[in-house]
Amino acid sequence: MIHENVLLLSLVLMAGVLFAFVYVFIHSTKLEQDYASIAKNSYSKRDKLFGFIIIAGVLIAIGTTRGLPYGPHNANAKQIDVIGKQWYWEISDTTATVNQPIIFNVGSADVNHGLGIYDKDLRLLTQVQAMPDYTNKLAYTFKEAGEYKLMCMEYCGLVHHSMISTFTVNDEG
Amino acid sequence: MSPLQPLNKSARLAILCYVGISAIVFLLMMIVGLVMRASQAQLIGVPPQFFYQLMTAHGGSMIVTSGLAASAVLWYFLRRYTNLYTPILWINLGLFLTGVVLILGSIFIGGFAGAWTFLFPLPSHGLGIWSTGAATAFIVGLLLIGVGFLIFYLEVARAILKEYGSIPKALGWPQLFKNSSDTMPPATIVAGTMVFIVNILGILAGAVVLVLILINLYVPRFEVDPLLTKNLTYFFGHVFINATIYQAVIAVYELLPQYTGRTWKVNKVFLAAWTASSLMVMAVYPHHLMMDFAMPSWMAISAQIFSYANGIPLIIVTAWGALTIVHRSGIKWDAASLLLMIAIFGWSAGVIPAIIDATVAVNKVMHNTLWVPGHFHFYLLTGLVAMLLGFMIYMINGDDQSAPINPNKPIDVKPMTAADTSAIWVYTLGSIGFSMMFLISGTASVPRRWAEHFPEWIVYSQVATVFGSFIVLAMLILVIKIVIRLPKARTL
Amino acid sequence: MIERIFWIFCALAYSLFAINTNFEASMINNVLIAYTLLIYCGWKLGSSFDIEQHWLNKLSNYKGIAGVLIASFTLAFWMIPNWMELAASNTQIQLIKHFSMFTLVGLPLGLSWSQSNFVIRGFVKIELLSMLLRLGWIYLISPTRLCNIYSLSEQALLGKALLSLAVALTLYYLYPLFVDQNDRAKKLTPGL
Repeated sequence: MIHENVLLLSLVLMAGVLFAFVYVFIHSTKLEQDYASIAKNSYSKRDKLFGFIIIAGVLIAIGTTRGLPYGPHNANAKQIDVIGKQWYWEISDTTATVNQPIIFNVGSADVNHGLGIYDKDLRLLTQVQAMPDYTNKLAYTFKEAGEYKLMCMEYCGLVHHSMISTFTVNDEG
Repeated sequence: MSPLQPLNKSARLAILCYVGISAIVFLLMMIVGLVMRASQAQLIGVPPQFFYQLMTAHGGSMIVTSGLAASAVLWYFLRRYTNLYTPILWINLGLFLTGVVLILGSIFIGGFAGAWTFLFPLPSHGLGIWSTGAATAFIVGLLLIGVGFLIFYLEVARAILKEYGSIPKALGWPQLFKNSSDTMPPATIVAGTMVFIVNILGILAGAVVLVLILINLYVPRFEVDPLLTKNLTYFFGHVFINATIYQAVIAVYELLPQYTGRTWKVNKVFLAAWTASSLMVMAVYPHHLMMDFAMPSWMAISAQIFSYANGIPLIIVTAWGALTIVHRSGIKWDAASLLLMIAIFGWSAGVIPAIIDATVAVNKVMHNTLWVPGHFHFYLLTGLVAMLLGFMIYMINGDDQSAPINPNKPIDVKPMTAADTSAIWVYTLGSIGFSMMFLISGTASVPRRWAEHFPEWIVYSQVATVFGSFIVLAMLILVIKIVIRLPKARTL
Repeated sequence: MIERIFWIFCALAYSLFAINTNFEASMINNVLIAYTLLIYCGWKLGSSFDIEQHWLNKLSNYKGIAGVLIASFTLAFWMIPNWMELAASNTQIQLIKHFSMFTLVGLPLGLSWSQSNFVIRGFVKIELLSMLLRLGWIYLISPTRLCNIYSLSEQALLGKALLSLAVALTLYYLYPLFVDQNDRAKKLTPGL
């Protein structure tokens, strides 16, 4: 799952940074008089790394902008209206079937909310902000039948943490 | 470099006030943070209403106090290169304290709990829990603090422009673009210039949006566009908190050369990185709005690309530069230099989960989970606050050890006591562990800003509470030391 | 002396013209022309006095701070639509508006500007920009007429005009900061 991979990638890269600091820290108290050569050596490595990271970063950034959730959306999808209110969800239909493309038309009647769709293991599958005056269209297709939870992802006041609704996904046919 | 002029009495007193007040507020607000985590861990009972008040106080106070402490670092080093007008420090402090009193009053007397991000239209939707008056006090408090900082950065701009003539010269553009052989501007000037540019524009955005929200509180028929408001709020918030790091890092540029007796050469890569970051720090804020599908999608895409590109140059320049200058330098570590080095690690490492979260595909499952406080606590707690503590300890260590401002001669180091050493390492491990628990909770999809957690999530908060106690304990030792020794602080 | 009388005369002439015609029935005329004209006349009058060394000025108007503050608050007051509306329907209020634009905005600015420094001027500029942006925004988005006597489309047009003015002024203010002050004998950004 993407969640664990994100954590793993972060940990690996952070460990790399930690390694560099620990390495230098351990060798810091020894004295090498010739700073010029240390600096020259280090900065030539940095300039290479610099170029590499910039190019890799921009390529990855561009590469990962495929399949953005912003549309255009499937016109034949089932439309479900979700309006956030302090502090409950007003949902036009709380059921769907497996593999049925759905578009949640998400808005708010008062303040900013966030619609997060959680599966039965409390794992966040997707989300979108819910705000007044705008309709955010969130496309999602459920792959498994079962009970899902719609939870609030944007702080909206006193009962924010209890702004939870259930959503049922049934098997096909 | 010319010999150091003593700080004038009034400026020294003002800077020590900045240091003392920030140190104490940091400690108090860390205790507030610990209370929130302990409450989520169900170790103590905090009613949700009070939890959200504490959350608003924690966020708001930490942001503005970071700004205050960071501005002290900027001022202290900038005055080595320019003539700064001391009364500005006091005007800023006066407005700051007035603003903080209003904000704390609005929260703890008026019950305001709209979070420090005051996302429109939440301030006007207290539903009887807080009044329009309380929301007004909060907004006016922020405005006053903003006015103080505006005056502060205008003075920084004046002083730098007087000495260096123009923004391009202060950022080293002639050297960068025209191969000018003039002496490179010092790191402090480059950083100070970047900070005054972005912060004045950020405060302008904040001043516009705060007054609009204020007007809407009293004349609701002026319906402000919530998405535009959100844009301005995040532009202001993002720029302001990032600029605190860009100011605090000046302490690293200035002090590590003194500790190692080596020079930190400003070169073209350094200048290019700072110029690029000046622009990009203002262009990346839409990464807070990736889940607002009503935003034009090019903004999300450009935010993703800029976020990748923005995190890297400054980190590489600063982290690599710090590692190079320390490597085999024969440095004798003391509390200040050790904290600065740890801070550079915290900043560099904490930016990694931040950049990853600025990917739309990741943001979809990580936005507004505890991953977000995870990354920013990492680079603010292990990074920014450690940097500020390093500066504070440098200040209180007194003049005796740093008389030579000859960069080729290492300063005479004051040895660390056992209490210093243990407090620093406990703080470091505590803050890394504390932030990691946020990141792990985010991986488990725990939403942020929830007063009460599901039973499945409680264990994360419990472990975090243990790490949080470490931080508070270590911080207590460091802050007591800083405050007690303030009267004996540096005069140079 | 003649110069001073001229600027007072200009302001009076405009005021007489405005209360006898429908000139201020247009919001754009009102905000962009009337205000600017009256403030300019007051400014010119104020800047013809050299009061910096006067004891009263030293006592009450240090670095022109008091004058600048009086001007900002008065101007902010007359940007509030309710007061603009009242002034549009009542000739006495309209006269008070003209008078205060001239004597409480233009005049103090003219008296104070030359004494002020970079920080105070910067503060005024930022405050002016943020006021233009706020008002432009409000006029542009307001679904109802803020002043009953002005039309919605005109209100939106004024909003756009104010926002454009803010953008133009930002560039105008930024330009000198990018040009070397030393080369230009510090002419562009006085008070550094």
